[in-house]
Amino acid sequence: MNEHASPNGNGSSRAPLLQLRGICRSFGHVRAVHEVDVDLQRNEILGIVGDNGAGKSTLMKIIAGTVSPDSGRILMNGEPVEITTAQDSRRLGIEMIYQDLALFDNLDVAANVFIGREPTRGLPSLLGFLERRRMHREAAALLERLNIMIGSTRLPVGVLSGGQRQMVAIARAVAFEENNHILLMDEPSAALGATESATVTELIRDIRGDGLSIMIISHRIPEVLDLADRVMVMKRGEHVATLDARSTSVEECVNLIVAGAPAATGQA
Amino acid sequence: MTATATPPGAPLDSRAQAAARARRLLLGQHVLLLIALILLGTYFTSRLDFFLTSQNVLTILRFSAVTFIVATGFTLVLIGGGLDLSIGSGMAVVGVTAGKLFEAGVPLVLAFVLGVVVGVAIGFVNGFIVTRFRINPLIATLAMLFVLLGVAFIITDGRSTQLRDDGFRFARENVGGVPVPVFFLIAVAVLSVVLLHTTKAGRHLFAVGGNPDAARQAAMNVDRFRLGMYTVAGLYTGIAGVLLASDLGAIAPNSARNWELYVATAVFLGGASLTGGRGSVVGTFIGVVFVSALDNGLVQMAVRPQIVLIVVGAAMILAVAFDQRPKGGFR
Amino acid sequence: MTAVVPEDPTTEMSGWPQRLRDLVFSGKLTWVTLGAVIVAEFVIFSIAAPRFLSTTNLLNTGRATAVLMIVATGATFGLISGALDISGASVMALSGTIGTQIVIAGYPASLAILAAIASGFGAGLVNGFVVVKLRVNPLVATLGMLGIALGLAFIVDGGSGIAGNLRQTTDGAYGVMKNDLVGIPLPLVFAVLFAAAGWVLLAKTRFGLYAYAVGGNASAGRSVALPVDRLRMMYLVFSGACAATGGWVLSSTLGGSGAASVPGTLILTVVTAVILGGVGLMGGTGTMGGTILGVIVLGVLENGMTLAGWPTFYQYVVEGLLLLLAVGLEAVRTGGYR
Ligand SMILES: Nc1ncnc2c1ncn2[C@@H]1O[C@H](COP(=O)(O)OP(=O)(O)O)[C@@H](O)[C@H]1O
Ligand SMILES: [Mg+2]
Repeated sequence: MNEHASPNGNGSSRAPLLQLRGICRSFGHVRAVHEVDVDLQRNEILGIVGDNGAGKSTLMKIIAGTVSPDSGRILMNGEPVEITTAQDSRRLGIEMIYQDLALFDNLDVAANVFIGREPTRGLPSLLGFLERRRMHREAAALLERLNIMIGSTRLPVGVLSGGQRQMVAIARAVAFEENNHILLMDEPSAALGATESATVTELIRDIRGDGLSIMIISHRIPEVLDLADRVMVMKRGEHVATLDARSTSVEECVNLIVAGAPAATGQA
Repeated sequence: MTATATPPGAPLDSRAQAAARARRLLLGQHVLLLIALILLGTYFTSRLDFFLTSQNVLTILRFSAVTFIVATGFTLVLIGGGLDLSIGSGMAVVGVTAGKLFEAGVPLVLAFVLGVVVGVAIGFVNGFIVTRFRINPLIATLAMLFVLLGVAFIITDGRSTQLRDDGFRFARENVGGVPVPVFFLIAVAVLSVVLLHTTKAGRHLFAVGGNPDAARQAAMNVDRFRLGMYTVAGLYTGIAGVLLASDLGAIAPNSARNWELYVATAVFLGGASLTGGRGSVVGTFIGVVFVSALDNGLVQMAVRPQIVLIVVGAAMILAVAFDQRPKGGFR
Repeated sequence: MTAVVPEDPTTEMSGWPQRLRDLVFSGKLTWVTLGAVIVAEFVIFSIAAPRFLSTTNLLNTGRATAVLMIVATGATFGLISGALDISGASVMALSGTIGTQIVIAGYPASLAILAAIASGFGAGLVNGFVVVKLRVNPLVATLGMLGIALGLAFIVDGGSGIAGNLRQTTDGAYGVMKNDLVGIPLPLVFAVLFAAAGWVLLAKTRFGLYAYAVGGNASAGRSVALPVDRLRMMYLVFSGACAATGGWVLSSTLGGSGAASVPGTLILTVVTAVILGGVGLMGGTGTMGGTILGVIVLGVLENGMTLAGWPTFYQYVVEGLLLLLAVGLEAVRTGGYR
């Protein structure tokens, strides 16, 4: 794939890769996300934990451009950016893996990996001829590189198992990593069994080595602590704490998730 | 469409919620449609002196009767989460059956009753196809539209014939100055309101249409219920078909072609929805009167009937758009 | 590294019900069945009507089926993308009427053809706008357009339903479809090229692939930044343009046409052909090859039944039953409507 100008290029290299400032979003009376500030550093895995309805998915969708914030700013490399559509975020090198995976069951694995970015020949844009053989070749190479075992890239995604589907979604998100900087994952292992989920964790660790920054939502707190550098706790739309994954414990996390504050020890 | 992710751009912020509530209030009680009907009536009255005379109002009601009866059957099916596009052809088969039987010397009342029975049978077949063969009702009844149209033509050998018999043409009579079809309209309306809003079957109909899976979990036999629903709708088709044949005083296989558009417009105007679980007899009644008044007024203003087709098509689209969009609509 | 072993979806169950189900599921059955139906038609009709197998008759069948092929091409794209466009017959009527009236008014044929096809673009744009912006179900939107376009067609031809003066238009480029090319009816040549182009467009280009994507999972399409609304609009415009092209071909073959020249039942034939050919009602599946076979089945059926002396209205019944059969097979494939 051709080289795109990298947003890293001219921005100040000291500013965090991604900064959210004062992000708010309400649905009717529900304050899904309220005054949230987050920093994401380069090459960092940031875990996000919180109860159901805490606003984790909404926050991620705001970064991915599929939900628009009511207020707040987003900065990349210290520069304000405008993300109002999914196209915008893709252009900035942000990829999201949705909780529902957003796969096309009726299309084959290669088409799913390349959707929206198919290599074409001849006429421009929509009328260009798909280079199907190249898509299959490159998709197969990608799956192999990521150690993903799927019989054929010609299988429709609808016949794959839950774990395979999850990995197709991940493969799609990292397929164009020359342009990618940030990977957002919404509960990538929620619907998986133990072995499948271990495979996915392994895969996430692998791709991190490729220089990506990852934000990951998960309910499996031990898994998050194992995988992430820092863990952000959300409660009722608010960002209640950020913990260092190495120095915190599962109990501390759970207390924060439930109580919204560190376990009260001897209040005055 | 399988909606999975939260649809972007479908937020329900407080302003939109207030608007939605206002809309529900207006549409739910058909206030908006009534206002539109009044505006329409006012406009026509200002252009045509005789529009609001009792004579003309009775004419509108008379023409509304057959449409209303078949539209009510259509509404029941929509509420139950189905669809029946075969109504026009079904009415044609009913009408020509009754006419042919009468022509062949079958006593008048028996001919009409048998016609209605044919309507019920058609409804049963529709329901059977949809529930047993699991065929999407849209296509099942579209196919039936053509099968029945073919049957109506086969029965009549493709010809229309007049039936000059006052008994057969009872729908053209007046009783106490009121056209006979209007009595049918009132009877069907009352019975349908009772059926829909006071019986258990009526409540179940809304449940089955609104959320078939939940109904199944509540141990309802949804398929059997829907079979019954289509069969009852067939009864409405039967009554409407007989009335239409009597009003036309003819055996006419193509008498009810393209009725689907008018009926669907009236019913959607009346607040029923393609997605099931919503609709009412009163709404459908106002919708039918609206479409009939539109037709009546435009024709009397010597507007070409083709323009009515355009207006009706546009009205249907707008009715559905207005009704569906606040809830997110088609995605 | 743990690896997920792919499940083979075809080995879960065994026995002939499963094998039959697999055959239906694979879509191959559609092709086999349609091939068998076509063969059966040829056998039956060549017995019932000796003239059936003559070259002249087969070419006539091709001429008569050309319009169906063209309109079905558009409907295939529409339905794969998730929109059942039932306004086709009315759009055809409008297109043919506009073209005819422009020729009658003395303007050049090229302008008439252009305007005819443009009317389909217009109708498709309106359908697309209603679906995408007003968020109306495509079925309702195109049902409305069915009324609107037919009404407009009647207005354009002055309410007569037939063309004002058929003979005036028989000359010149507008009526070019009345001619043959090296003995083959021009509409047939045109339809074959049209279908081939449709095939390439659907199977080989992004435009085709995105029809499957949008029809298969529109919400996923939004998530991966496909311009879903714009695409939906395009497929409806394409469908309208195909219908209008079919309308012009019909009008040209007839030497001019009016609002009543297109039978309303044509839309049944189109929908039947497309669904027979294996396009799923819920969008996301189907091929042009299937649609072409579906069109041939119906074209041969109509010609054969006419030759065998069966009135048109028997065809309604047979086509309706065929449609039921086709969706019945689809219901087996997909688990069906619930
Ligand atoms: N599109 C929407 N419309 C209405 N409410 C929504 C929508 N999306 C999310 N919400 C509400 O916002 C809150 C946060 O949701 P979400 O971000 O999905 O939480 P989480 O992912 O942490 O479980 C919940 O109360 C949810 O019901
Ligand atoms: Mg969530």
